[in-house]
Amino acid sequence: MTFANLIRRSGMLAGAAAIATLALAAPSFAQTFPVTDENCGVTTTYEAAPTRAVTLSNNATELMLALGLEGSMAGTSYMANLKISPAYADAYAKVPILSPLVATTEELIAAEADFVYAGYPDGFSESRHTRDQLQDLGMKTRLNVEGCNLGAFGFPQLFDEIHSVAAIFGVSDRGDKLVDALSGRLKSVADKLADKPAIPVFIYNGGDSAPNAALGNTMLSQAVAAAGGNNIFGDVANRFGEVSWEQVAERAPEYIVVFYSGTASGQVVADPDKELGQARIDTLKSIPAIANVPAIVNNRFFLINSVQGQPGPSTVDAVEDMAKAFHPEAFGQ
Amino acid sequence: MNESRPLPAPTDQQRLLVVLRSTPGSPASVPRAPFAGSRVAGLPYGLAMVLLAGILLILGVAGLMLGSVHVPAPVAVGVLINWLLGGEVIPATWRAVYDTIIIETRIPRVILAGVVGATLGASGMTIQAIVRNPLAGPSILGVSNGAATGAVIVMRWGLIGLGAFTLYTSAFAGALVTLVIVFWVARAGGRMTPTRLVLAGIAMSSVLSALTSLLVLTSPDPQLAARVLFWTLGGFGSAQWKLLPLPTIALVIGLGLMLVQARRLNLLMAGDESATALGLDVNRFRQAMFVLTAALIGVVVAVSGVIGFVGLIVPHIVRFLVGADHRRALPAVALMGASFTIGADLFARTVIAPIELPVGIITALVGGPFFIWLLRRDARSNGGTP
Amino acid sequence: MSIAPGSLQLENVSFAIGERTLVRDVSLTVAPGEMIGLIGPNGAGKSSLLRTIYRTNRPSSGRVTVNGENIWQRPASWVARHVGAVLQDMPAEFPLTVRDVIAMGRSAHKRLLEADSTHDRALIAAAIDLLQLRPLETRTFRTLSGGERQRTLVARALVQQPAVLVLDEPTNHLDIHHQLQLLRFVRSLGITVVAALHDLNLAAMFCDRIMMLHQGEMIATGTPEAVLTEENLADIFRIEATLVRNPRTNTIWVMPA
Repeated sequence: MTFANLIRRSGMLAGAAAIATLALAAPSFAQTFPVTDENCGVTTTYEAAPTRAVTLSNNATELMLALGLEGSMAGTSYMANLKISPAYADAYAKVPILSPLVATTEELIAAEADFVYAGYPDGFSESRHTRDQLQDLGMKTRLNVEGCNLGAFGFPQLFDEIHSVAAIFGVSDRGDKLVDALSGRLKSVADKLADKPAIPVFIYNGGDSAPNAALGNTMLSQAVAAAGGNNIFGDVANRFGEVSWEQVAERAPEYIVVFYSGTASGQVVADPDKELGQARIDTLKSIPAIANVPAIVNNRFFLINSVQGQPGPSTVDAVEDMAKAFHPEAFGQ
Repeated sequence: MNESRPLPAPTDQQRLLVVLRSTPGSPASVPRAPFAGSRVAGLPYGLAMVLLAGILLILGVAGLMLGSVHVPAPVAVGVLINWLLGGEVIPATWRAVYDTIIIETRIPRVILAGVVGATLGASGMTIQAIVRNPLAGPSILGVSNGAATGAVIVMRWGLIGLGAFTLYTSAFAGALVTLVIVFWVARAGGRMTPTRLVLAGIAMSSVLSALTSLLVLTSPDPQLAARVLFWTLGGFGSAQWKLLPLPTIALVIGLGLMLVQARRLNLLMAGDESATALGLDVNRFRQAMFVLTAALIGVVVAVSGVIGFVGLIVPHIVRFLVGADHRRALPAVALMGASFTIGADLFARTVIAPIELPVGIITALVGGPFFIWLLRRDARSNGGTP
Repeated sequence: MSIAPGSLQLENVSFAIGERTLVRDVSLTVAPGEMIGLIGPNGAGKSSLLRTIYRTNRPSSGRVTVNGENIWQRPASWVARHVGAVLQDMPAEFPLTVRDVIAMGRSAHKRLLEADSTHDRALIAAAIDLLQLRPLETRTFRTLSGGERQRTLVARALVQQPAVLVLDEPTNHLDIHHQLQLLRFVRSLGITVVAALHDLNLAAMFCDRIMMLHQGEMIATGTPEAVLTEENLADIFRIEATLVRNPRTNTIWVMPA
């Protein structure tokens, strides 16, 4: 929204108030630049906020939209056939979609991007484009720290990410507000779950001869914990890994969180909710080894796709939904 | 000597013998008849080279026209002409981004693919001579896997010593280390025989492959497997201008050295015993050529991952077209290797656009069946015994 | 100027691989232009001895000199310019044409970056014509018959312009007609020749002198008559034979009983 629009739309009085607000904000606005971003081994200096940002994954997209930065964005990518969270749908519609998969170097050039933000660790690689390569083409880059921080990634790390991105765009105040809002919601959930024992939860990421599980270092694991669940493989300090059906049966989860993305083997899936999400539920129901597990017996499945499952603001939405599923009595249901 | 023809008449034989015993410059040593070209498929060498160069040119230009962003053909040609001639020879009525796309991504990509392909072709041909087996390829030396392992080690532990070039440097270092080990193992007893070289290379490949798998499986990084896939399947996605000088220089020097040694490479094809009797220090030469080709392959894999079958298939086709004499076959294999790789890359990034397949998949899909066909034709022509 | 036939001298040459002695203290002087036949039962060491002459086997003691020069004190290329070897066969995995194979013989005479000269081409053409290979010139070696391959390898040895020509059982793949033709041809070249032959009568027909080897040792050297005695044949070849004179060639003829 430009300054001129502000005057016209709000009328003179509101405009005067706006000017006053901006005048008050101006000193702190001017002080935010230049910003030095040290991110996963690459140090970038921003003399001014980028104006043509492109995101390479849906969690990066949502993070930026949650910060109200759609006006600074030149494109989004890698949503495949998943859906953006409803809260951001309007803003999302205002930004061109460059590709259902990760935008290629050529697409980034064509979009005249000056900032490229990857939310997944594989956003920058030798096979697509490296950060150095994009830097040479005049695009500054950022990689969600989940890509280089190989330890546990949870809400504190997510909030740091929000602060960092907000600083780059000179909207640290919005960053603070967003973090406050998200923290508040998490706290509200935590309060309601205060005396409830955590239920054992298995986070399933596909696989039939042997299941792939989200382990302790994933955002998902922290989200489940925040929702009053206990990841049965949370004791393993890794991101994702293969486990065994016997182990799942032994740990007897009461809920199974089924995680899926919008692509399979690098290809866009037409209907991910059905072809990946529901299909995975069907797979689970067909495994004899876990047939007696409470979650299977009671048909307790929670579908979560990568829009919410990868670290982003809508992960908090997932926490709220999962909490209501795990402990309905705490939410009056 | 022929079944029905008698010996040449005595005077004829005498004259020929005189020629055979003559020294350079004596009047006898003037050839009587022009000799036939050393070609098998019936193509004169000059024509074959012109054809190959033409194909390379066409594929190169095609590579500039196609990509994930649609650039209209006239615009692509305009950009190319302006770039080649410098300045705005053709008025630039198009978006500036098209210039950037073509000049900063597509041209380096096509050049890199060409350089890599030429290097793989020439190295493959030389390796086939070294191990005296036309069914060998660069991968048997083990250095391809060594380069991949070097890269994986860096990726696994997130080492960032040399900034942007860390990965490429470590890949090359991996290739060099493998080179030294294979050299040492193959050279047992002071002699490097073809069999020992092949076995050492294969053994080393297996070990490195297992090591890479182990590193990937024990890594906390879920993306490592995908990145490693790039190295094992190859790609030119990260081609930039500043990546080009090293492989290009390596190609020029490497191919030059091979051409200089072309006569000796010919001798190797006759077998170690013949080659020795014809004056070659087979052992030393084989070792030197091994080091040269292994180093070249190390450079290539470091910049573009492991691209298989180019070094195996292209030398075959070239020998079929222009014969086995390295003095002629090496330049031809460089041209054809470049064309093949540029073409494979083109196909890889357009066949199921916007998805970009790794180049190695295309070369394997084309090369694999061709290789099988070669094996079978080989067996048949040898009377059923391989 | 013309390349002259050379002299060859083996002085107490022994060759061993590890513990096994394959050639034991063999001495031989070959005058320029002489044709020497090397005979002996299987495993006598003929091939091993020949290999010491064309510089593939290094003698464990003794020396081999060509035109007075010790071949192991000269580089391999020098020896290739003075000794031409016709081996029994050549591996043929690659599509080398007859001309490619013959052209290899010139390598020892060329420096690294030197291209083929008119002289080279004249020699190659002369060898092709001399061995009747013109119609086969562009055929690949692999597609040739045994006899055609043999002629190609002889041609290759000839373009080396050797002072001494070594042949290792050159008649193995040939029928009787071609055996005679080849040996007649070699004889007519006027070069110094050392040929390992398994056919005693052919050796007697074409060679000036014969050396009989047994278990790496020299049993007898001399004219065919002197070497091919009933006693030697019984002791070394373990055959009962009658010796006659071939009325057409006037050379000694072995008739096994």
